[in-house]
Amino acid sequence: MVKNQVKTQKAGFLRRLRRWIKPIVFIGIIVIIVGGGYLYHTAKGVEYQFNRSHRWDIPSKIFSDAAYYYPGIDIEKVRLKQKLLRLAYRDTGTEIKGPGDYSITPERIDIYLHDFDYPMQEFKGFPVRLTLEGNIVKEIVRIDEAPTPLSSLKLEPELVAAIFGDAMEDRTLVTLKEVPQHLLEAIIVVEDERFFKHGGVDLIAIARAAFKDIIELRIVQGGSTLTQQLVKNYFLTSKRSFLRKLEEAVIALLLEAKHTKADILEAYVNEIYLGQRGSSSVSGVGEAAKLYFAKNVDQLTLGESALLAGMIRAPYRYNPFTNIESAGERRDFVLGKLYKSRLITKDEYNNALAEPIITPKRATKTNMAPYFIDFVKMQLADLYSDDLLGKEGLRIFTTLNMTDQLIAERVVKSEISRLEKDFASILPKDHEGMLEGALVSIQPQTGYVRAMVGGRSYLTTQFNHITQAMRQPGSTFKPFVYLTAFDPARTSNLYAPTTMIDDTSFTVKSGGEDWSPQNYDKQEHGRVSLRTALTNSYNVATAKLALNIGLDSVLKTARDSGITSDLLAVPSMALGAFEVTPMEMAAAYTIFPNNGILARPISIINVVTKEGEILEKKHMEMKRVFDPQPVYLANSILKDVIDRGTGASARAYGFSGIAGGKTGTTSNYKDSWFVGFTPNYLALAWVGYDDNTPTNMSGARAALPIWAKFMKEVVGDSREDFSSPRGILLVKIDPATGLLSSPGCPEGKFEPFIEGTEPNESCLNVRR
Amino acid sequence: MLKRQALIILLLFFVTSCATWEGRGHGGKGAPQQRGGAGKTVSKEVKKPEEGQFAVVSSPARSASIDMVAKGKQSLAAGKYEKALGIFQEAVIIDSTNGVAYYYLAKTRFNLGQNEEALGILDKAESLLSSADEWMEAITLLRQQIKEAYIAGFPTQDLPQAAP
Repeated sequence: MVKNQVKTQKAGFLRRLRRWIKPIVFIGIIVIIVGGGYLYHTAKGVEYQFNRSHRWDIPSKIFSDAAYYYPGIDIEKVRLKQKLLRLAYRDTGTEIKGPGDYSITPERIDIYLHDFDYPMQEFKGFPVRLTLEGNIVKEIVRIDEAPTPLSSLKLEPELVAAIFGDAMEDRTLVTLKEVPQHLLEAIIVVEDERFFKHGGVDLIAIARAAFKDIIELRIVQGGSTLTQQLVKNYFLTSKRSFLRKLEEAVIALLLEAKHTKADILEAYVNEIYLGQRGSSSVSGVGEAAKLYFAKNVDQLTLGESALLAGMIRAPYRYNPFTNIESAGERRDFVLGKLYKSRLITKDEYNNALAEPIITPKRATKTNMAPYFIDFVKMQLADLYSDDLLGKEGLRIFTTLNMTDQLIAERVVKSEISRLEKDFASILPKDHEGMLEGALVSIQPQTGYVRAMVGGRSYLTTQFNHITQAMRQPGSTFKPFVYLTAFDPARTSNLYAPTTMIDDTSFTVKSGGEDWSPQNYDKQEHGRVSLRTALTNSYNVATAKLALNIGLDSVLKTARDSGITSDLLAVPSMALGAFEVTPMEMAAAYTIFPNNGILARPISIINVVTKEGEILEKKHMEMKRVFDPQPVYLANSILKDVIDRGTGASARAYGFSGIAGGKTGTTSNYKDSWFVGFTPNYLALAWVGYDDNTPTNMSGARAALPIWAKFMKEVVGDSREDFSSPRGILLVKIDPATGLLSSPGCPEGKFEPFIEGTEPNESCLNVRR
Repeated sequence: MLKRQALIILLLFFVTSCATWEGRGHGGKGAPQQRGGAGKTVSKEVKKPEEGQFAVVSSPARSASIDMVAKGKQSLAAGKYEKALGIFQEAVIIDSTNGVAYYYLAKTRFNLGQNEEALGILDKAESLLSSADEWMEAITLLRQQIKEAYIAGFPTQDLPQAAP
């Protein structure tokens, strides 16, 4: 009976079990199909993403121009020390050992130049010595194996900005070969000792970690392999959950099944997160080596490698910029592990322990030359897609001079604040928008844009007043009228700076209405020379001159100078009553210091792929648009503007060099301008309100101080004068009549003339 | 007899005076003179501006630029035009008033087949070297070569008009 009962119970159990077998098998099949599909899909996705060509987004980088130094240069004037700091050279005290080191004494500066990939040239750094006498460089010598004097020294371009993809990751790709052996060993020894023994997931490490966690009753040790860390960073999020951990393990196993350890390790060293630089994350040892040590990864010492490996666990806690002690302890810990693992000798261990941690000065300014960078990005956007720019690691070399740029930013900011304070009584009260200012500088011979400040504060407004604001140039246009008059090829009458003109009011019809220009002082000045009229910016005389020579001729001069904005041949054009951008005006003015040659403004010189292929190359381009002789005549007056005319207060602001220039004040004081130039350098400053509210300040009061203070720092007291072309004579003239001087006319002054156009009549004929 | 001699002397004096007066009117030695009002001559004080400042100026930038030009010339002679181009551009950046650097930059661009650009840069060289006769000759010669190259490649009417 008992036997029957057992038999019955068994049968019942089997019956119940049979009832569940079908659904269990069915569910099992579904799980296998779904799981298999998931694995297949995941494997495909992993393979696609891990494919070399799709691996990482490399941001494009925008560089300044290189800087040149030579015997005779004043290192204080060119701010060499600040340049070295910006280039992340490290002050090592007395001795320089490797790329990126420098040391300064009163007698010399030693610099171990960085390696740098220029377009078409890979530069290998070497040590140089600049011997000093006070602040003047006496000699530059290469001080490696065979000391060699150098005629000049080129410091590499500065990294100004980067263009990131959506991930905002800053990265310098490295190959495994480039990574020092010590660094790889340190990473493995600290993060995954059994890297070469497991297949992606290390159960022993997981068990050991779990045991330690249980003992300590908290998470003290992770059990993730390098492969799992790579998967977490590369494929997944850092979200902590069982499912995510499972997914991570599956992908790690798939990765190891398909790829070599070398492949995985190389991906790891390029992916691992190692800190922040502003809003972008620093990913990979290549970029981290640059950030923390200002070196290429293959230049890292044993101690530096150990620190970098140690930082992986907690980049913020072990950041040598902010926590030097913790960084040192962590480095020593890693060195200890390396020694215990017999990967380094005792001597290497002790030497590395004794090595000081030297970091470059950390850049405090993260947003450099923002208006210029925006201007460059706008041009790049016309040439390349966002995807290409954000992901393919292009290198863009520009004309920016960072030393000049920083001076320009400081001067614009401080001067606008000063104007608001000093002239609060005349500025409009409670005006909604802020007073704005801008400055641009160009090397006129080459067309290189050297500095650009598009507004007083990029944080407040990104509107670039240099390239985007359409403003009336006012009196800054007048020199083009006089240039036209002096050019025999453009006007049928002969004019010279000594030609007399009546600065007396007149009225003409313009657009069906009466038009009568007025001088700023509301006065008429009678019969004056063209020199006097332009030096003092007389509106009436200028407008009269423009009408005499023909407005179409003046318009052609403007076009030949590169002004492309809308212009009409109306009388008010002579007084700058049309709109241009300050950039256009600055570019047009380059014909003055450049003897009538127009150099095309350039801001981008080269665009290079990460493989070194040159995509874009811009050369200097120049073209003669005016004969040099009339330009010389115009320049002789523009020099007077600064020496004794409306721009004379430039001297009071400390600028003592030889220069020409022109103030500009539009009607009702809506715009204040000053454009000025030496033979080698041109700068334009502008001040105004965005809504065209009058500032009640003239060009001399508002814009000129910005120009003068900038030029004083950048150019100094340069005594280099403008070159004189052939075909110019200086003839002694009576200023009162514009005719030949004679003993009977007491005041005589040498004035320039195009040969053959000088007067032949004596002043006595008129004075008698 | 005496009367005849006196007449001859007077005639000779008159002729000589006229000849001298004619000579003055056509600008002989000394400053040119003009007949002023009421028959008076007017002297014109004339001088040339200081020229050649940039042909011979010695400055740290100029010395460094000159050395750079020497390096560039080596690359040019070796036919490494792209390298030479980079060097001459650097020479110009270091000293933007070194006319010789512009000359070689123009020559390099001509060698690279960039004729129009070469002419523009040659204009710049000319403006800086206008007082140096030997360089002006070289510039004229190079300009001629560029124009010939242009003609060989393009119809004459398409030739850009360089400065005289």
